[in-house]
This record gives sequence, C-alpha cells and structure tokens, in this order.
Amino acid sequence: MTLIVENISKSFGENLVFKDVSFKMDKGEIVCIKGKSGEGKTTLLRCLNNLEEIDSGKIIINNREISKVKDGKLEIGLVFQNYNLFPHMTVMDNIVLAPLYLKKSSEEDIYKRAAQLINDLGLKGKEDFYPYQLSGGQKQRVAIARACILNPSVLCFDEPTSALDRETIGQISKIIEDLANKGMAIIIVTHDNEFVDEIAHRVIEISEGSLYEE
Amino acid sequence: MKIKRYTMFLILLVLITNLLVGCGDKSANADIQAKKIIMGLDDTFAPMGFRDESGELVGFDIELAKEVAKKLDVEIEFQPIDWSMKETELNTGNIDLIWNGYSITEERKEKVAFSTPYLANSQIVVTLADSSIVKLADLEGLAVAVQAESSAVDAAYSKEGFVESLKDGKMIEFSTNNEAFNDLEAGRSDAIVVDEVLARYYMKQNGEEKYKVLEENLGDEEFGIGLRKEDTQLLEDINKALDELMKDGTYDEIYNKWFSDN
Amino acid sequence: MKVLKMLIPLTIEGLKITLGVFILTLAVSLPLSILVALMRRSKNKFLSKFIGIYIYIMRGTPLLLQLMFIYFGYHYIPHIGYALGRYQAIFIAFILNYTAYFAEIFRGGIGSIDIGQYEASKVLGISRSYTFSKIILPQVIKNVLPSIGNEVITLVKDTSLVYILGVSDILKAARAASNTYSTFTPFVFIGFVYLIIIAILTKLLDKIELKFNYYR
Repeated sequence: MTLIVENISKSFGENLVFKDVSFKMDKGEIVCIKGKSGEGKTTLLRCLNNLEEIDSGKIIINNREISKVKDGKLEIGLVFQNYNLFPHMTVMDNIVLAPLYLKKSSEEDIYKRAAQLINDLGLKGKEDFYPYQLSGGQKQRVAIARACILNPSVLCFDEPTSALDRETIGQISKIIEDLANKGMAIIIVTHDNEFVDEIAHRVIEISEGSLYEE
Repeated sequence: MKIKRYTMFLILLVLITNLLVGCGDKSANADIQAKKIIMGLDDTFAPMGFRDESGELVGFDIELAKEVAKKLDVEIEFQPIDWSMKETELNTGNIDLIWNGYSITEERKEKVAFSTPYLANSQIVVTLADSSIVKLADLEGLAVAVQAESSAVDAAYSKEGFVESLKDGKMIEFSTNNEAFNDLEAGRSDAIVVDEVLARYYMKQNGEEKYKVLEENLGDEEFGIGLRKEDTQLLEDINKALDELMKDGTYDEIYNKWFSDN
Repeated sequence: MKVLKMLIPLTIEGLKITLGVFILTLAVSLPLSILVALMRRSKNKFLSKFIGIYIYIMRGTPLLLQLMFIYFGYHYIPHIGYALGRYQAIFIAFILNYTAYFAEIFRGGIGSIDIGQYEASKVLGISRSYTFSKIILPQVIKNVLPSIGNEVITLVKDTSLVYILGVSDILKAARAASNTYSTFTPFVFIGFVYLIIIAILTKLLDKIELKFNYYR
C-alpha cells in the first residue's frame, strides 16, 4: 500500500474537524474527496502535506510512518488551488528551486528532469516566462511540475478545476490520468461532480467529522 | 540558523564602524595640569570667531585666546559647537571654555563662572542712512527687526514699554542678523536692534555710509569667558593673563585690528 | 566671487560629512532593520514587545533630541562613564533612528506577502530561513522600495542635524560663508547642492525600482 491513513483526528481548538478517519490507497489510484464546504476536506489535505499537524493517528507512506518525521512528507506533493507560484521567478526557476536546495540529485539531473516535465506538460518554450505572463491552465501545469520534480508517491490537488474552463479541464484530466498511469497515487479534493465522474476511481466523502466511501 | 549569523555580522559591523569613527575623537575633560584646553565656539559668529575666505578660523576672540594660551603655556583647541548647547557642552566636559562674544548676564552667572570682562558691547539701533528716525521714541508704531534668541531681544524687552510701542506690539524676529539687516535694506523694517560688535562688522562689509546708528541704545553689556564653576585655578590663570595682555599692549593691537573705524 | 571662493572648499569638506553620515547610516540600518522587523514579528512576546518599545521611542522623539541625549546624556546617567565622541554619537543616533523607521516599513512589507508563498515553500521541503531569503525577501523589497526611497531622501536632509553637535556639514558651510560675508547667497547655493544630490538619488532609486519591475 502506498498510503495508509489510520484513525487520524484533527480539531482546531473546540472545533472538531474530523475524527478517526482511515483509508488506504495504492499506486495509480485516483481518489476524489467530496464534501460540503467547511467539512474538512481541505484540512485533511493540509494534514497530509505538513501544513497542519494531526492530533492523533498515523500516516504511513510506503511502509514508513511519517506523521512526526520532518521531511517524510516530501513523498506527498500538493498543487494548491491558487497554485502559489513564486511570482519573481521564471517557470524553470520555480520548478528547480526545491530540488536544488535539497541537493538530493546532481544539478545536471535536476535540470534534465525539469526539462522533461516542462515538455510533458506542454510548457516547452515557456521556461523563461514569469507567472504573470501565463494563463491559468499554464500556471497550474507549472505548479504540477514543481510538485512532481520531487518524485512524490502521492500527489494532492486542491480544487483543480475551480478556475478553469471546460476545455482546459479536459487537458488537466489527461495529465492527471497520465500521472496515475505512471504509478502516482492521486488525491483530489473537489466539488466539481462532472470532473469526479470523469476521472475518479474511488470517491470518498467527509461529512460531520467522519469519512464515507462510495 | 542563518539569522543568527547575520546578527553576529551586523553587530560586528556596528562595532567596527564605531571603532573607526571613534578614533581620535575623544572628548577630553579639562585637566588644569594637562597642557590642553578646549574652547567652544560657534565658528560662524563674525567678527568674534568665524572663518575667513580660506576657511581658517579668525576673529577677535580667536586671536585673544591664542595670546592667552601663549601666556599660560598651554595648547588651545578650538571646538565648533552649536551655540544653543554651549552650557551643556561646558558642563559635560566636552569643552573647557565658552569664548565667543559671550555676554555676561545674571542668569548665566548662575550656571557658569565668568572671567573679567574683556570687551564692551551694547545693543544698538540701526536704521538706513536717510531715515528720519533719530530717537528711540521715534520708533513708536514702526517695524523693528531683531535676531531671535539673542541678547538684543532681551535688551529690547527689558526697556519698559518699548516693544509694546512698536508696530503690532512686537518685534520681527529672524533667525540670523543677516536676515534682519536684509529686511532693513529692503525697507520692510524701519530699524533693527543688534549687537554693536556684530553690526559694525556687517556695516563695514556692506558700506557704512548706508546706515545710521542711533545715539540712544538699549543697553550696555560686556563679553566674558565662560568656565565651569569648579575650574577656579583656570579662571584665576586666565584673568591674570588677560590683565597682562591689556597692560602690555597686545590687547590694544588686536582690538585695533578688528574694531578700529577705518 | 569671494563668497564662492570661501564656500566651495567648505562645501567639499561638508560633503564628506553629509555623504558620510548618509552612506554609513544606510549601509548599517538597512540590513539591520530587516532583522529588527523579523524580531518585531517574532512569536516570542517578550522580544516583540521590547522591539516595539524601541521603535516607538525612536519614531516618537525628534532625531535632534536623540542626538542630544546620546551625546550629552551620558553625563547625567551615573556609572556609564564612557563618553561618546561626536561622530560616534552621530552614527549611533542616526542608525538607531533610521533602523526603526525602516524596520516598520519592512514589517509591513513582510506582513503583506500572501501566506500561500510560505505554504508552497513548506510543502516543497524548503527551510524557513531559505524561504525567507530566496522567496519572501525579494518580493518584500520590490513592494517596499517606494517607501524606503522616501525615507532615504529624508535621510539626506536629516544629515543637517549634525549641527547640534558642532559638526560641519554643507548647511553649516553655507552659514559660515553667509556670516563672514554678510550675505544670503551661500544658502541659495547650498540649496542647489541639496537639489543636485536629491536629483541623483532619485534617478538611482528609479533605476532600482525599474530593475525590480521585471515581473507582475
């Protein structure tokens, strides 16, 4: 199992967001998390990605428990709803900043891999562009490349279709399916039902603090 | 953490700056046994202590001070200060003497010790040469200019009813005597009240024939040298030196150079 | 003109002071203020409050007064014993004062950066300090440049306050020549000198702002 989430709970002060949530995911699976606004789906995503700490429970990736480990969560990546690209850096710099900093591969390899991702994601020719010069869909793809270059086992998307038109959504669906076919486990938080129908292998829902699977 | 390293670097930078900048700038406290005394002055006060066209410090007080230092066999250093801070500079030990056309007044005597007076001064009234003003009483209802915060202001106010009798019941106060003179020449003011010593220098510069000095003045005063009250030995020495200089003709020489009416 | 013959050498001497205070103050207080801004934003309540008081005092009293206190004040405080030289006092006062003003500007600038930048960085495994220097600070600088530029221009004029400690800057040069020759002209001349300095400075600041305008 790529990802095992075991009985995790999270509250903000007195507010219980979710309690004893568990689920499992394998490589190549695309899981969509649905639910009304404010029910905790984004919080769940943030907990998986080191942006919030869980109160109790375990998160296990590739057989390693990473709930309390410092950089364990690099095996999970996140594409934000508003992408959060670094506006003062080019597309290429946005993508290579993290791996160059982490120094886990050689500079040569990093740039090669970045070029590959740029190509695969249809961003060729835009390496030296700044985010403000890109369309919404292009920005999203830069965000995806930026996350993917770290080779995460699980990639999360927060409302990926909220800012896009139908045609671009089609492109994004294809990209996500490609990633899944290459072995990545994908978690998508969304309330776009059409998109869910198109792409999801499994659907889970967070409601009143608990998880339900369809 | 990188931030700690930056802090260290910056603290080092500040310390180094301090060292570089503090070198050779120690304020010496007056030591009567020591061979150096520091004289504080406003180095823009013509003709007592100011800079000539080559930027050298000259003036009546400067020359007299150099002679006194010779008599006392000490080195004298001239330290420019801000005039409004003179007593503070003296009492915090940054200078040992206040010597710059420093008028002796009762209020000042409470804060500093004065040497024997070495120059007479008065607060005179100057008008343009063709003015019809002859007596102080003629100034009633007219505009009179003066330098703010000077002894000229004090002198004017100490004459009963004088300021109230002027136009609008007050004087026009400027930050420098030059501006006051300017106003007179422009015809906006009818007269100015000013230090005699300073006025004569100004008028000499710009042509004495343009001006007229009233016979009546607003008060006589004397210039003295200011010292810390506890420096009694230094005071004694200076007074002795002044006395000798006045007796041996050196004083007269300097006086004639600066104040003779040529 | 005789006046200019006296004024020009004095102005050059004065420029050493005017520009010296200006450059040294900027060189130290700009980087120092970033640190102070971070301390002001620190989660450590004690540190934050302490820095807050320092900033309040520096912005709440005239620089002129600060110069006087720092130079003359030691005498009235027992046991300090160490008298600052005139130039030391000037640099300390200017640096303390301007660091406070710059720090407030930076604090505002740092606070206005979208939290998403921090989150994206964190999710990518980038450390807090690297995030600050490579991602946050460059964006902050671009945002605060106009405000910083304003303070820099004010600094040029504030240098004339050194008169209170008897130090001769270019304004004093004007006063010296003016009193020696009983004329107002030197002040006009020095006014132009200030204008020229500010013109050059403004051009420089504009160029820097342009450089940072490569995005958005």
